[in-house]
Amino acid sequence: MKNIIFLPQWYIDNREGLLLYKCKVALIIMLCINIILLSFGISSYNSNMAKQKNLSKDNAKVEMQNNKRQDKKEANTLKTMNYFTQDFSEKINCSNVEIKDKKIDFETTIEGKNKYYEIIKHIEQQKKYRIISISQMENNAGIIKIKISLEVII
Amino acid sequence: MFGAITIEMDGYNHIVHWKNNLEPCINYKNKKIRVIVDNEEIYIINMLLPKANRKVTKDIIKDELSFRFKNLDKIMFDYMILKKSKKSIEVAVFCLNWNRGDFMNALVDKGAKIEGIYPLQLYMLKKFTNKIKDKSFYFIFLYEKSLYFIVAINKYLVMNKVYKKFNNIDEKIDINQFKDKVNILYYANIDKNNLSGFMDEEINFVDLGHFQHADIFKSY
Repeated sequence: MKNIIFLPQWYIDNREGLLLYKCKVALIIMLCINIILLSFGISSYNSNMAKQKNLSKDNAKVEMQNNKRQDKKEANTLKTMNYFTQDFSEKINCSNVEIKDKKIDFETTIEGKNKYYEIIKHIEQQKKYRIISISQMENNAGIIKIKISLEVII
Repeated sequence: MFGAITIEMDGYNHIVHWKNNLEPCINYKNKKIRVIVDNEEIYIINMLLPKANRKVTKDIIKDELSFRFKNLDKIMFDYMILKKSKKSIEVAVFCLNWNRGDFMNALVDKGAKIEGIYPLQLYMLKKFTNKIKDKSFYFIFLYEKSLYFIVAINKYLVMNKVYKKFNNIDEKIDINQFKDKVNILYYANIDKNNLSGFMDEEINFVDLGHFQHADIFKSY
């Protein structure tokens, strides 16, 4: 048998009113929470976007700096080339010249000790170069082939 | 007159007598309370209403009742749908006239949550649901010198009657109108000899045993 429940009308009305009130309060609280969450979401989205913008700016800066460095390197190479042509090309027989940034590698042939000392003296007199290494390549009956690598100091 | 009002509180029962007020030492706050009322008859009215939603149906019933009862404030009602058709519904409206509004007010003021007001006969029927297996039956029991009589057909309450001061009863219970549908009678707290004295029909009697006040209402 179905439960037959008796309750006075005023009590039912009160209970329904209270239920409605609770529902309204719950709805308002939910709305508030939603608004707060939304605002947090929007602010975090904005900050993310700003970060991304900054990152792209930084990337552009880094690229610019890299380009500048490249340019400088090329300029250095040209400068060293100029020095080399001024100081060595006319006085020493050079072959296999390689210039990169401030470094110069070249090969020469010398006959006897005196010639060797002359070349070293000539390099030191310029006061532009630091000798990194001198290595002997070949020795054919008094004619010696050597490889010299230098660095421009200025 | 009224005997006692019984409150069922969270499974325990606390009995408050008619003249007494609520006991102040008991904490009623946020407790589910069932109020059980004895010596009250339920008026059953069958109505044919247009089909509508729950709220409108309730309003229509309220309007209908206002024609029948002078003071609707004291009347509590609940309804049950018996038949449904496309345009109309047949409902059984159960009304209880109980004028202890002050008692309810006192309970509500103390923060109690009232689940419902139950007449004793329905409460007893609920207690014996496991033992009563038929759909249509008579149910009769004696409680504090009052005899309660219930007729249920197809699990719907059709008639109920309370005979106060059972010892002096002379009239016989008229059950002719339900003769075709009901042929079993459950009885409790009463001797069979007493019953056969004022019930004409020969029907099956099923004894549900005796119960005492403390068996149904376990007080603290």
